[in-house]
Amino acid sequence: MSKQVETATPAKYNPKLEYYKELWRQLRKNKAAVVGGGFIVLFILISIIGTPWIGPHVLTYAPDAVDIPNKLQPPSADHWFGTDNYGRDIFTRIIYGMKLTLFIGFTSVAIGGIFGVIFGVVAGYFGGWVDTIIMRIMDVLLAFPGILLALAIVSVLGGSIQNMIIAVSIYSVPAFARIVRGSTLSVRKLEYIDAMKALGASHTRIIFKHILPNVMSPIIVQATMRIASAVLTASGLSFLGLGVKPPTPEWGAMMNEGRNFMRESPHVIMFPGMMIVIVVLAFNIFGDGLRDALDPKMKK
Amino acid sequence: MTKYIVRRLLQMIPVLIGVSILVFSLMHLIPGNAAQIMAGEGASPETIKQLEEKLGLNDPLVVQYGKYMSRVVQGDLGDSIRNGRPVIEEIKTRFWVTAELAIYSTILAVFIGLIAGIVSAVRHYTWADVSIMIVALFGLSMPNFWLGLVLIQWFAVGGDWLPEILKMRPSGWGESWRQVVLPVIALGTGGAAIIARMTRSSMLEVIGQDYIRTARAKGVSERVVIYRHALKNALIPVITVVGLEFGAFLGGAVITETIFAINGMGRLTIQAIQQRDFPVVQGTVLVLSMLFVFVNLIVDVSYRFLNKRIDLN
Repeated sequence: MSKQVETATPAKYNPKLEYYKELWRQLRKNKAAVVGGGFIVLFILISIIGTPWIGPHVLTYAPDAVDIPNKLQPPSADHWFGTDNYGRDIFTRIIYGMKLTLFIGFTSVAIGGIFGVIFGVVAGYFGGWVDTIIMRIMDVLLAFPGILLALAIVSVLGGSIQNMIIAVSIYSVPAFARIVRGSTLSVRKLEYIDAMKALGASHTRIIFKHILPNVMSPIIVQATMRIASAVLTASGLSFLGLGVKPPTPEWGAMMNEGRNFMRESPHVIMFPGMMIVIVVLAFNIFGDGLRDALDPKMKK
Repeated sequence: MTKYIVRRLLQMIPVLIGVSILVFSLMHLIPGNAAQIMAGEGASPETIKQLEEKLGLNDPLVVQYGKYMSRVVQGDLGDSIRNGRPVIEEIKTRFWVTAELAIYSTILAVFIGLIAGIVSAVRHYTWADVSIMIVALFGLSMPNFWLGLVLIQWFAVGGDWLPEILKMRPSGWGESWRQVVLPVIALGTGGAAIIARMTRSSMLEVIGQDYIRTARAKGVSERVVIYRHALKNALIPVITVVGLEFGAFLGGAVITETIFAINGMGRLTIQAIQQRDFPVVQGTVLVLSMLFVFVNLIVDVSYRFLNKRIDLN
């Protein structure tokens, strides 16, 4: 009687999958990253509540429901975060504002990141005059201090969500380009890239298949940190009255509207401001954790 | 060293030209007719035509840029559309207000950041380190406009303390230290947090090096090891961050000046944007960017000067 020998089929080694598995393992060890990541998941859930399909069924008030007799009410059981100068429920507006904040943060970083990565990888991979031209343009963009570049762009394009995303994206491009260029330069000199060239691989294949996967770690860390700074920049522009316009429940715009009433009703600026701090803090903590997990040398 | 400084100065030229092109382009990026938008909705066709001629908008772009640059190098940044005053005069009266705000904020950020960073590194993984880093994370995540408003609420409105800070400042900067303190705290806190994190990380890296171990093995006291051997080298990368933070303060001053009603270049920029006075916007953005580029040059040179291990050539 022949005995059937069972052999386990070896799982196909997938480097991409292994990378993310390892990242997940490292991340789970970092308590701060777990807390930051948990908060980000919570923010996403809150932003789902703030959609027109779910919000009206879950929340008592509409974000733009004006109730003048109840204006500037302090926090109470009816209005957890109080009401603003039009009697609108601040808690409801904050929930609806979460979606907008995350949308602006993610979209502007995605757009800025894509362009930054393309510029950085092309500059680092090809070198020479291509590198010089691209990096000098990036130097010019970095020469504008702080939010001044985003401010200048919004000032000419006009204040709207779309224009603010464009401004914050352009503001994010050089940071990505610099980091990716640096990482590409170090990877480009490795022997396996020479081997790929010798085998006749095209530039596009080398860049997408061999360079980009190897510079993903700094890109992921930078993207997380940039979301925090994009949220700060966007809310700052709206606070100045140059970004999202009232009555849209954007937190910076809410603070701009509430400024004139903060003497008697400080809650109108406190709660939107605290939400900005919490969101930015969560992304910063998560970014720190990611950096520690992805780059053990930085773990100090 | 001279060779290095000359080379850095030459490298600055394309950046400054790029900045000037971008600032010049601002007026041409306005969707629609720039002169019409600047003149306002009710402006007559004659007024719009006059404005177009005054701003030279009918010339080819290259000619416009050439004229713009020839005026800029002579110190002429054009005239304000709203009050007709030369932009350079408007900036002159406000330049030092913003520069002082940025300088005081940098001093505060460096002072607090360095102390916090050193304490955190020396006592790493203790409660002191953890507390400082948590506070730093908060400082990093706080929008300066919110912090400014909270400070006003606590100290000026709620506490009835420092009531002067809410007074308008017709002459620009505050007349007493009380008017200076809150805007500087509002602007400098984020920078202090960044410098603290950088100092800690840099100190920990240096403390782990062989020469520190050798110094300890020789029996040198811990105080001398930290302050004479480690700190000197740990401070080098921090200098770059200080330069970048000065730039962030110049940009952040736009918001802080608006909150505290300080008549600096930041407030001038915001007012100009609101009034669609683009020559003033161009002027302030150009001057602030050039100042930032020069500060970075000074930082770069001092970095190389302090870090003897870097080959200057």
